[in-house]
Formats: sequence, structure tokens, C-alpha cells
Amino acid sequence: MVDIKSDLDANQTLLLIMSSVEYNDVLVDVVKQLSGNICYVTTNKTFDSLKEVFEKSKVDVKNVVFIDAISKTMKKVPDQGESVYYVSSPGALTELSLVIGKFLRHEFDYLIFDSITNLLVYQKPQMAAKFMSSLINKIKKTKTKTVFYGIEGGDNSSIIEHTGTAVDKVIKSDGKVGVEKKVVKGVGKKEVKKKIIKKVEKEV
Amino acid sequence: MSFSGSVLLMVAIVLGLIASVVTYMNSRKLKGEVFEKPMIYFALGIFLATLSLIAVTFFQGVFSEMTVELIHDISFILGLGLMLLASVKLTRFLQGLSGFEKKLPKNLPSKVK
Repeated sequence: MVDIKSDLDANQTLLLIMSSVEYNDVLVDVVKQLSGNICYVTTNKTFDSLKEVFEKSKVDVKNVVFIDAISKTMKKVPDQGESVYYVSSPGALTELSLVIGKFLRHEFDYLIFDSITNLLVYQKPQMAAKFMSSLINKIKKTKTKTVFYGIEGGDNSSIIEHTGTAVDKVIKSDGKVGVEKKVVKGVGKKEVKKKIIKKVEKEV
Repeated sequence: MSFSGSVLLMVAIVLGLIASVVTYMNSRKLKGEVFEKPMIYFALGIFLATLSLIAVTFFQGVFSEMTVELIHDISFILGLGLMLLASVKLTRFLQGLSGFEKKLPKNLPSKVK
């Protein structure tokens, strides 16, 4: 299991790299571990969907303020709701930067950026990389501890590599977050081979 | 009074045209953002204000004096109006953001200055 809390005690900015399989478990797990005020920037799941995920996992979101950059690309939503501020799109980097900058003045204990790799769907890699550098520099001027999520796969390596060089520490999720690997008897390669051999022997 | 031949007016027209093109091109870079529309309004506003200068410089020999005056006045008013609209839109966005930011302490129970 990823121990984000202790890593954040030692470092201000973290990049947490995970696979899409673990993603849902990791995002619940990280918020559960962090106690304090959290500013959660989402470019992936909508605010409603995130709220549902957290409520299902019984995570208290009273101390979480969301910046939702995805809902406006899908449906008509107001500019703001209770504990959520909507940004036009994950590709609206100027707007996103302005909003996050404004929120950082509030000295949140933690900022979670979910996820840097999703920016590439809406923006060119170079622009996303520039945005990340600027954002990390902004964060370093404050006391807010930040976790950036990065999802492995596809053409995501460029932004992960770039952000990895700018943050204080890069963590790769070990795959144990909420997912237990169970060995089911009789479905291993050896078992299958044995079964085939037995079948052939019977037929002969 | 004819403005044709005034070098300063020519410089103003060239600058106005460049400013409107550059502003419009920058607005394209902000596609989908909240700043896209205000930038387009600014570009159009600058262009119309420039058009009013173009009208008094080049149209005087082509159209009647009244027509030139109408083009000049209307484009100038519309141009300034569009720039005002752009400013209002930007102000509204910034006020909305500041308003939400001011509300934040109520939402956060544990610690916020």
C-alpha cells in the first residue's frame, strides 16, 4: 500500500504513478490517508462521480474543496456549487492556472491533482508540460503539499517524465492498493497443460 | 476636414489592424476557455474602432460625407461597446472566482485563514 502521508511529510510535491486498474482504489485511499484541508483538482472524473465514489467508501469530504475541470465539457453546469468550482475544460490551462493560484492563497494542507496525464487528451504535450512546470513552481512558493496523479500507458510517458523531474519525489504504486491478487486453483498454465495431456491420453 | 495624408493617422490604423489580428489569433489559442469570447470581443472592438479611423481617412472621396460620418460614428460606438462587453465578461469571471474564494472558510471546518 502506498504510504502517501509519510512521503508528504518529507516532500512537498509528489508524483504518484499508477495503472488504470488501480486508479479507483488509489484515489479513495489517498484521500482517506490525508487529514486536513484538501483542494482536489479533477480533470478525470466529474465532481458528482467523485462524490459518489468517496461516499461509497465512507470518506468524509467536508474538508475537501473540488475544482472540477471536466463537468463543463459534458453538461451545462453553473460556474460554482457548494464546495466545487467548475473550470471550462482540462485544456483551459490559463483558467485552471488562475483558479488553482487563487485557491493556493488559502493555504490548503494538501492539493491533489487528478490527473496530469488526462491533460494530454485536451492539450498538446508541450503546453501541458509548461503548465505543469508553472504550477509546481507556484506550489513551491506556498506551504501546500501536493500529490499529482499520473496514469501509465499510451503516450503518457512524456508528461510523466517531465513532471517527474520537477517534483520532489516520484512514487510508483505497487499495485497492492485495494486489489488482492488471488491464485485460483486449476486455472494456472501448468494445470491447463496437465488437463490437455490427460485429455489426449484418454483419446489415444 | 480631411484626414487623408496624415502620417500619424496611418500609424494609428496600422497599429489598430495589427492589434486586432494579434488579439484574434491569441483568442484562438484559448479555444474553449472562459477568456476566448472576451478576447474575440476585444479583437472585434479594436477592429471596429480602427474602421472608424479608416472611414475618415479613405472613404471621404468614395462615399458622401454623411455616410462616412455614419460609418465612423457607428463603428466607433460598436467597437467601444464590444470592448466594454469583453471587460464585463472578464470582471464577471474574476468576481465569481473571488466570491467563491471568499466563501471557502465556511466550507472548510478545520483550518483556513
